[in-house]
Amino acid sequence: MASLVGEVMHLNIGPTEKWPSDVAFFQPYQVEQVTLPDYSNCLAVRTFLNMSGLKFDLQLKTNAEEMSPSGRVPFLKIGAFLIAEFDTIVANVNMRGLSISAHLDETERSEMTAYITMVHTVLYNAELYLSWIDKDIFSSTTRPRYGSVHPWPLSWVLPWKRQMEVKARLNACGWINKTEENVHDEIRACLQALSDRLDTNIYFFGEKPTELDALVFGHLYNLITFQLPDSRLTDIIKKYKNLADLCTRIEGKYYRDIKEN
Amino acid sequence: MTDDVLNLEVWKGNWDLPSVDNECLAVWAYCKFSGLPTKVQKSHQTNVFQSSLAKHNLPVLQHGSATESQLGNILSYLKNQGLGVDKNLSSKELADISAFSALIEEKLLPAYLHHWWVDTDTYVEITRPFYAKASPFPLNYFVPGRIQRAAKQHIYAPRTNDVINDEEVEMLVYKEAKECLNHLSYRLGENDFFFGDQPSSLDALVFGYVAPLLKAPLPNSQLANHVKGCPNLSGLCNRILNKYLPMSPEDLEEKRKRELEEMEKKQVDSLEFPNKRRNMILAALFALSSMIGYAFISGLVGVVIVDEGDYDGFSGVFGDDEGGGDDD
Repeated sequence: MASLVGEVMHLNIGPTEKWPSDVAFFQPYQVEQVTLPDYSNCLAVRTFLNMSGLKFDLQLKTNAEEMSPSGRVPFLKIGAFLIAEFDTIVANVNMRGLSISAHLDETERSEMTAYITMVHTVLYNAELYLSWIDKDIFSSTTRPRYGSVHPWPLSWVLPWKRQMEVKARLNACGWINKTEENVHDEIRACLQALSDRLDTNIYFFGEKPTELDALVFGHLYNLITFQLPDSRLTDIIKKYKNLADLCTRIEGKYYRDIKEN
Repeated sequence: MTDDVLNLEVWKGNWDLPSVDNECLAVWAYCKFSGLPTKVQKSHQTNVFQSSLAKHNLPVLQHGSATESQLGNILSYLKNQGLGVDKNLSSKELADISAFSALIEEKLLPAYLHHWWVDTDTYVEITRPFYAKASPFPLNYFVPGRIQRAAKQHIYAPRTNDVINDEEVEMLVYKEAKECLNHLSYRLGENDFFFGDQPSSLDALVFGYVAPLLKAPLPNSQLANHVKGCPNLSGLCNRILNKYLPMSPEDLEEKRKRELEEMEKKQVDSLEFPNKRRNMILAALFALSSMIGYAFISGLVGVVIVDEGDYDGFSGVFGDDEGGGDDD
């Protein structure tokens, strides 16, 4: 969710510097704390910044969620501004003239926005459902991780509070009554659409990666590697060979190479 | 299977549209695009009653033994049955339809719901009277409120949290909806339909949203104005209305009747004017008499004094007489 105040401030003041050298990227602890849907978003933003060639300083905070202006992770500190979540961060980078999708025409950009929204709604809701509504995953993974940084009564109360929020959200969009099988079907339909769109291309829109590639990578890579009690989801994703290849390609180019340098 | 007739139940129409509901319009248009034999039933009292009991929302599609409600379910049912024009599209085009459907549902629907069900002017003047009239007694008291609550939950629940309040959410949903309309407009471009010469389910979906915004007499709506500012979207809407959903003779007849009724109502209103004055005078008289009555009963007015006066006078006379007797 965009922070409107931040957005309005940006429109009025405008970014003064192209990309300051002291940009900080805040997210919860990766190994012990972060939940599946949150980490997909963190990974997507990091991939996007790597693709744009923008430098940032990764800061792990136990209370990143409370620090964020929108209440959701990840968020960036760029100069005097705090900017949270994928869409707003992408819009901010575009506004600074550093867009990686500037070569697209209007129609293509509209299509990209449509696919981004589809990934946001379907995959993000599916991740929320699996990690907060699915009883096994909630008690074995989500609750211990989300509560891990708090002492005892809070380690139960805060996950429960967040679970209520997630339930309200999923109830409003009709996902709460779905069964696990329905959720898997939704994921399949979304991946099918992405796979058909990608076809045999290197990236979704030609030779160069765009924010859509970053977002898809964030979700799929995380769903493949996140330790879940069963591997059904991983099996579903691996069926879509061109999407799995896309993940490998992006990981190789934007993570391994960067590390080696 | 293809020979079977589809039974479709929809909310009835208004403002020269065959139906006022976006999902009903979309399903109906899609059936017309596909040339499916469709028998349409406009909501009358019993089926609203039944669907309310079953917690279904219109549109409801009956085909053979299957019953499906709501747009998404109906479209996927038709797809599974191998019906509909979408089967002629390539897999990439189908992928585009999924993506744009998600975009519309996520970005345009919240503002659309807000516009019809939460915005006070539109809700009180247009939406509530229409849906109340279309529902039977006693459901007319509950149906609009129930849909409104569902709409509010759909708009606010996923967006409001500790740091963002309802007003900010409203600004945000309208901004996103306008962006979504722009994206649709860019995607449509100069084409007749989204995927060339043949309409698809995406055209039906967009038509469902755009047509009521264009046709309804809305006092002042940023969403409707924005649609009017995208000429290719309103062109698409009119093209579909003229070619696939022209007004039937019954609709025209009904429209004429409604206009006549409205004229008569206006005349009756002006005739009723003296009655209104008489009623006002009667009401004033009634209020006055009840106030006086209350004053009498509670003893604020000097009845007691009058009584006492009488009694005093009587006892006085009696007393005087007695007194007089004593004196004597």
